[in-house]
Amino acid sequence: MSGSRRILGQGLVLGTVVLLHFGQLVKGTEDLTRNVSSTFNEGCNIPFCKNSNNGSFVNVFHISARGQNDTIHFVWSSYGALTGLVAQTKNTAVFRIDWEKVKNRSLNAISFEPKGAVLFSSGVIFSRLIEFDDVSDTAKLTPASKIKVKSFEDLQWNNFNMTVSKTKHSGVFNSSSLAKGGNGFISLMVQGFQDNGRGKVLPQLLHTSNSSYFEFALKNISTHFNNSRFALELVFVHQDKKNKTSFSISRSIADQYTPAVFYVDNVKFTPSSKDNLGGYVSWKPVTYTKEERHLGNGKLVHQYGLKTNVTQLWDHLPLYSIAHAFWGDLKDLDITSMNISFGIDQDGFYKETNYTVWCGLVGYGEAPLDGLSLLIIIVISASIGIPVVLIVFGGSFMSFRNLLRKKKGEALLVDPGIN
Amino acid sequence: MAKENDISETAPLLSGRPIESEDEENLTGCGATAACNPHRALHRYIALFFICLLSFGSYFCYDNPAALQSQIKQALSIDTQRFMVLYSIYSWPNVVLCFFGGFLIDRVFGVRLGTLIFSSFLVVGQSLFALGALLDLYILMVVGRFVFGLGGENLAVCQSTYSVFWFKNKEINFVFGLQLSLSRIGSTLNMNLEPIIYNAFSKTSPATFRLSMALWFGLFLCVFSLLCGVILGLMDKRAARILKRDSMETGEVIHFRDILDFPVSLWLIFFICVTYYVAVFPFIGLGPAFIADKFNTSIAYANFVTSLVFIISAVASPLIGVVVDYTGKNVFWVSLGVVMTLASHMLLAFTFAPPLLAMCIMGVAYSVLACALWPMVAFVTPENQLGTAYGCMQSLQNLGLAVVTIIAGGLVDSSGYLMLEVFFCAWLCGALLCTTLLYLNDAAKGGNLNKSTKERNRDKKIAEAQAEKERLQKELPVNYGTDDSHITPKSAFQLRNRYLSKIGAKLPQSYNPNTLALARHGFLQ
Repeated sequence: MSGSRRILGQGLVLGTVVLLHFGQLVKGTEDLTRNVSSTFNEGCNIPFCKNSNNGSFVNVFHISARGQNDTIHFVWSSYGALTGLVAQTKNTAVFRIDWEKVKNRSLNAISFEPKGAVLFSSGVIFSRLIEFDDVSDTAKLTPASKIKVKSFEDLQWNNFNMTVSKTKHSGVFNSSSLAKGGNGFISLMVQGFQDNGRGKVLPQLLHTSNSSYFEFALKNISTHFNNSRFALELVFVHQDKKNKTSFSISRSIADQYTPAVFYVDNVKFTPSSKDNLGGYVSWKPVTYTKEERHLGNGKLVHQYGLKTNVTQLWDHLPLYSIAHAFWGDLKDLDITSMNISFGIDQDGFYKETNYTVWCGLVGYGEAPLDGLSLLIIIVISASIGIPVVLIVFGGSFMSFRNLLRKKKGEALLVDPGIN
Repeated sequence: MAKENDISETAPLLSGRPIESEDEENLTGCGATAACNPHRALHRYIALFFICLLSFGSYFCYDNPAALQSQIKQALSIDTQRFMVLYSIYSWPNVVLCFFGGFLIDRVFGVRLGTLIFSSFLVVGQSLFALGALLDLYILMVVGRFVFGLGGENLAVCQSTYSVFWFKNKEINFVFGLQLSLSRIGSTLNMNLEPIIYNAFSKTSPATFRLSMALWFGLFLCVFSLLCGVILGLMDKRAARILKRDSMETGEVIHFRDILDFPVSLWLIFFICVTYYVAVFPFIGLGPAFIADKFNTSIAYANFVTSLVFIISAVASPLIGVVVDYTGKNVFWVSLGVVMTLASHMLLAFTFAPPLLAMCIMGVAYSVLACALWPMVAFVTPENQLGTAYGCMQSLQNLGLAVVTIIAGGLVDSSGYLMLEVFFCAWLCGALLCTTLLYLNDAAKGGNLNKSTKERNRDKKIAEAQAEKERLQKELPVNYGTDDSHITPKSAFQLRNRYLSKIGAKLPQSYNPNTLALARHGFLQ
């Protein structure tokens, strides 16, 4: 590409960025307010979903966000592999779980009735947790890295119902202990929203009623190597085989909500028809290594690109999850996967704090992007405006005065005696 | 080997009274060679070497925190605000010391001892700083930076005093330029070398240990500077004895009462100084991390890009200095510097344009501003108040830096780098505002500050001619009626009016020149 074209291109990009930001500001309120409700193990009628099974609870958390034209359902579950589903349905759709089928790990145990009520669906499966020995402290997972893999299917989970907040439409999946001391575990907090807003703690992600927020944390997990770091394998499921799942990194100049983070990683599920907007999983590439989050303990989340070669995936796809329960055989769908790892070089590895938390959103439509805040626009316009106004007025005043003085000067020359 | 008789130059090269030849000390042996003979230029250049290296350690160490920002924050697990305290604490003692540095050097220590004392402060300060890093004691590091601050700025005063006394009426401008360039080299070297030293130590050793090793290197340079101070002191003592030179003084006299007499334009210059520098220096401290995060570069590259400000100003300052001196119009240059800096901050804040470009602009802008702003003080201040004016300016600058660096660090923690850049932009707009006000204020008084050098020289000539004429008139009998005199004798009418207005009596309406003018132009008829 020639230099001038690149400059032009950059100019255009800049222009669009600015326009987008202002567009965002104006748009802001357009998004829907939805009527949100949440249920735990909906329609549970057998002991299997009420009590613990060999120390592990079956947890299915359903958030439904009902709008004027459609309802967005978020279903999170730790049964099988840890999974989140997003489905856009007609308002008439009814969510049903056939608990016997779930117990038997059969396909199509979860459904929306009547048939054809689902307009769009997608999902994310947390398939494997990879612990790797980062001998050369590069914070990169390489094929040469010594690894120890834990499948999420093999984990046992505590009772989710104990953590549900009806008012916040949130809850936490906590795994049973993964440390010798007994206080180490994996947790996934999930939450639904009535309308637009922003998280109170870092990374303060912008959310809409079309999205569900999650926080994935590794707390005091016992490690097997000297220089252990953790990576996560995610599997993305798109309802339609013909339509692609794509990955992009968008950047924004606005880091006022997540200091020092200028990028957003975004997995996009392209719309399957004109009637829907598709979906997304998006996150800022930052992980916090202490419970009390601030810029200083924010470390990089490294992504290793979207893997679209499906056949490689089959070997270690989970055998069962609510994705299977909903869609049936995943081979008929568009499946992609991605590894992400937590931490940067020289941060002392996982053992430095024994804690890492990663936050993101799953949702319907387009992932919300941060724009310039009103405060910044006011400060900039005021601080540029005042000198400009002064220059204009001062300048014209001065020239007027000079004009006057010239004439006055003539007058004074005649009688310079006074004063 | 040269003998004492070979000394051809008996006139002193350094300042001082002419020395009677019979007082001449006999130099023998090595002392008489060109290198050791204070009368000779070579000896002076050897002294210059030590003078320049006197503050090398100080400049290298001042920006140590910036060069190792992420490492310091990580090793001590501190946030950005507490990190920036390391800079702020350096400025606090200098808010006061700017006024008393000259006094301490002249009346209490003397330059030679003062140099050693202030260099020792640097050594002690840097030691505490490095020790704090080693022991993971943040508070000790802060104390170290405070002690370091006690020495840093005053050492610069000692350095310039040495330069003045060894090079007055010689290559003084060259010497000052060389010092500035060398100090920039120190800063640049720090930015690019410190991370390398840090990384040179095994990754298995604790971060605090590696950090302290990088800082010990700074200490090594401070000790080196102190040794330079010792050698220079000895050389100077010997030279003063041989040349029978006056004792050195900074000549800086501070009268706090002068502050009351400062004109508005001087205060505006102070405000420009504060508002401009708080948008540049704290940015240097925060720049590397910001650039690495936003533009996705390596820390080493981010450090390099940030140090560009220093590299460019080292090269550009002398050139721009010549241009500014040649053209005059200082207010114009100041506003250009502010606007360019504003542009570069805006590039960094609102675009993803390569930071290299923005930092180059900032480097040039910084040089332009420095070259145009500081001399302006001399245009609006009488010579006997210059010491006070510059002291005041530096004090306010340090006060601004002390406060703003802390705020800037806190801002990054709470609101991110965009907000920080907007904050800096706001300060620069404040600087622009002050510059505009300065221009208006000055234009109202006849536009002295923004004169071109040509006009300034012409005015100077006129003033000289005028003075000459007045002198002649005093000597010669008063010569009424000659055409070359602009001074016309006053009529009784004029004298009476002058007297009336002096005692504050109200003049009749018709005697007011303003209304008279209006009347003549027909407005009142």
